[in-house]
Amino acid sequence: MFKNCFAVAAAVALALVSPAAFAAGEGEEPEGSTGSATSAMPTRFNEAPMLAEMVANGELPPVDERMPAEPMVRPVFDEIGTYGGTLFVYHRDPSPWQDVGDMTEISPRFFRQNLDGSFDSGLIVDHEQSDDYTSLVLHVRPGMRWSDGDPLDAEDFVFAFKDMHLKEGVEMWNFMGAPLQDSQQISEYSFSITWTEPVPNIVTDFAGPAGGAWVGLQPAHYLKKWHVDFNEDAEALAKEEGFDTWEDAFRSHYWWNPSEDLARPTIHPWVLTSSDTVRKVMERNAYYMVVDPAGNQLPYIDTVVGEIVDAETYDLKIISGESDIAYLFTTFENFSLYKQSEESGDYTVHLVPGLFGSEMGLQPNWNVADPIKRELIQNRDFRIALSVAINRDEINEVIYFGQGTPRQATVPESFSVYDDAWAQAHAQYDPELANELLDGMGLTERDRDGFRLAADGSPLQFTIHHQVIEIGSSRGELLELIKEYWEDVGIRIELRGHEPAFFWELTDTDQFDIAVRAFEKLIQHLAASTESNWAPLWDQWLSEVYAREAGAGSEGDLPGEQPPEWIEEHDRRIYKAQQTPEQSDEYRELIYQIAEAQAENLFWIGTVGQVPVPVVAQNRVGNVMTSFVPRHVWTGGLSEFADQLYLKDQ
Amino acid sequence: MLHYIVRRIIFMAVLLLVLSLVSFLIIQLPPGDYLSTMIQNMRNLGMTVDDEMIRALEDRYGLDKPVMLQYLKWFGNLLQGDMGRSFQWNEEVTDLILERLALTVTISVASLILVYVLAVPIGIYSATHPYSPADYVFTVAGFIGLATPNFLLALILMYLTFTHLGWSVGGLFSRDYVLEPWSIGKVIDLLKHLPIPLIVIGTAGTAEIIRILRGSLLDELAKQYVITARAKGLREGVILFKYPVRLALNPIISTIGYLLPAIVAGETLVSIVLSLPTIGPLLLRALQAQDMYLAGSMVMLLSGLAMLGTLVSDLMLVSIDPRIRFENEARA
Repeated sequence: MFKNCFAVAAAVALALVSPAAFAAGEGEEPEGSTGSATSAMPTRFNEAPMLAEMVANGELPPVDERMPAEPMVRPVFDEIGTYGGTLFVYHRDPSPWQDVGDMTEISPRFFRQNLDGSFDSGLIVDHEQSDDYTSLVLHVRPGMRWSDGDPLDAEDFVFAFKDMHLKEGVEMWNFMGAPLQDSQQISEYSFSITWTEPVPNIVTDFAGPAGGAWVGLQPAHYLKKWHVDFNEDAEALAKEEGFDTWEDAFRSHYWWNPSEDLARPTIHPWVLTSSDTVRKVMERNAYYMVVDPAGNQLPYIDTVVGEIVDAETYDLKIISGESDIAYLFTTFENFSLYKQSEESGDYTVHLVPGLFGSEMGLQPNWNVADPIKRELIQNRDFRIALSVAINRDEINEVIYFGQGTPRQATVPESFSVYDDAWAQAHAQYDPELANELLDGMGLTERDRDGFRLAADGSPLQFTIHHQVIEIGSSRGELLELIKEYWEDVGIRIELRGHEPAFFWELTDTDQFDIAVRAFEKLIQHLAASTESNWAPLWDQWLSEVYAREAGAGSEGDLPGEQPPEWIEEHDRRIYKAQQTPEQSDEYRELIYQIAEAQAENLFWIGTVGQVPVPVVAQNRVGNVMTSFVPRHVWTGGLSEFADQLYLKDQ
Repeated sequence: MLHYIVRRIIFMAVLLLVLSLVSFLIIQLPPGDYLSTMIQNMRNLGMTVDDEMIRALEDRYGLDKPVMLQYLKWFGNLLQGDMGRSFQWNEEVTDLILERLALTVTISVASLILVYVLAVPIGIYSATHPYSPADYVFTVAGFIGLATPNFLLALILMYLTFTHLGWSVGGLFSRDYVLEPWSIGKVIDLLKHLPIPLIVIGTAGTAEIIRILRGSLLDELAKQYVITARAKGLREGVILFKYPVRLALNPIISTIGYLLPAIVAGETLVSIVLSLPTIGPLLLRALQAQDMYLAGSMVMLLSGLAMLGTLVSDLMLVSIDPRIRFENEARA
């Protein structure tokens, strides 16, 4: 993996302007909903009855004092909601990536990206980028507050970048595409950040998880007393709290996964008030700095309860109507199950257009240890034969009820740089052609069972490695179909499932023939390096070369194997794409070349893509999200609209 | 007798020490560690994890240190009653277990009582009326109970309860009561959720005990002392309960050793399917995620309970069955 690959996904994703998603939102949007924060600014703010009561009792300051003079305005999907009620959701595990409780997604970000791909201000109202793209000056929206009422200013951002990201011993995740160099506070509401490499597309990153609570800002006033730079007695305090070092104590107060320090202030629409191994409860944040276009402080819903359940129960809770909204762990394979109880469960199944290039993509290992298989896999005709032997229409009908798109592994149609030929490339069902190509490679001799022998007469069998499949998942059926198609043209196939951690380890070696996973990351998955698995040895070599070019890396021989020149060129284009602003012609040109290379060479063999994501919501729930912001390539992106959900029966 | 108990306890201490090492190593055996599980989760969620991040994470969890060092640190703390922190939940292992203990024990003990109340009378009846129609019915039902996987039974019952009774299924409370303080309504709601777990967990146990009791009692009833007793004109009830039933209970008592750990972490699959907040699913999740301090501590706890249970069942056997007592004394 070379560094900063996250930026590739983000950079590439900005260019993803989704006509499908946009069209879905367009017709239903209320007036003013696409307007920017400033044009639709309401002048008076309303608040939830429970908060008004607290204000009347003197427990809270009035709403105008809790909010910035110019709060962020959230366009709503359908209509202005009503306040109150408890939303019930079901979680699958204790991690913070859950329906509505998706802590990376529900936080307001530095910038907000609209459904049409355009940007609005968020926590940050203004920014200036240096000409070489290595530094940025940001101006914080004045008057915002943390959930404990403490003012939120530039110090909180600088604390996160300088005193946490850059501090030895403090673990933070860098979603920004380049290593940080420095961050300085300029005034109460402005600060600067510099990186060691150019980050031309940083605004996109800051409209995603990098610009949300946790990665991008932290409550300095709360966390300082555990930080050794701000409190000389931090070590003593840590011992007192039962930790070995100040790092351990500090971590337990800022770390979020899974049960965080409940007293830590946040900027989320809801604040976690209790969390154990059974359920999490979140109550509204009285200081949330976002309003709807009518000036009502969000969120509408008072309380969110998330119970942790098993996969079967998750689906059962949906069809029994107990789950108010579910989208992160719904599967399209269960579409008919959800649909059956729509009436009795009093809910609606919404289908949100999916963005995966291929739900299941097959990666033949170009570096496989077996020399016979390696030669075959590196032969383009062999890969084409495998691809045209697959009956994608049948897969679409059998597994996805005809709702997906049979296509080659490539960028989705909604991508700004798209050519239909890429999706068509060798995606037709043509077993005759497959047989012809295989015969042409000298694989003419067959064994007693009718399977092809290698050119030297030795038996030939390919193993498809996959992660263990949950009972009832259709991934198994899909793999059985693939096996059947390939055996029909005489290639003997074995399916082998692995425990996930082992699967990832295996796919970094030359010990597997073909690996299976979703093609979801667009261009990034086409690189030989980064986290693609079609050429693990070349990946090791290239990653080290890039590391040395950047001044890092180790001494001695390069690991892995040297790739052919054209592979390295292809890979460097992907590396280059992240250093190029998305609006430029150069960027489009790079993406074009990368996607063309896939269409021609089939690094990945795709099956069916763009399968919709079912969002199952009770009919009493309003403003259900029905499209993704075109930035995201994973379904978590739906949670960012959760603050506008409301209950119609309140 | 005291001698015997002391000796057993010393053996237990040694065995526990060995077990702690074995259980820690077993958890380390599968490829990868908690970190690789976490990284894999992050990858599945669409994030990219670079080398720098992996190094930071290794440092955070102390996983870059040698296994023996990790073990010594864990065992040292364990001796002081500190089971360590769970990676996965970011909480003290002790708190996690205590949080679920009450409910786990309630469900297990309730189902145990159900098992004995049903199984012992049925077993005795089957043995005293062998090859009667009722015996055949119990036998068939018992075999079905033994043969059906519990989790499957749970799924079927769950589906039927939902479709026919319209009750909320899975978990212990329906959503209206989740956040409420305890009230009569909440208790009724809890009672509505209890039958399925109790039935499901109880079925296999009941079937098993019926079979064991019927078998051993049939053996006893055919023995000559029973015939003699009957010839002497003792009442049937006295003959049955004073000698053969007492003896027939021996195999059941000797299995009590396994009951203690089963009460704490038995029926993991059922609990998972029914989403019961008991200890079993916590253990499974810990093992899957290779959350080693949580998993290791729980394996230790369970082995400790198994040993304690064996000791208790041995002592019970000694007190119930005079033959064992005399043998012991003769040997001592």
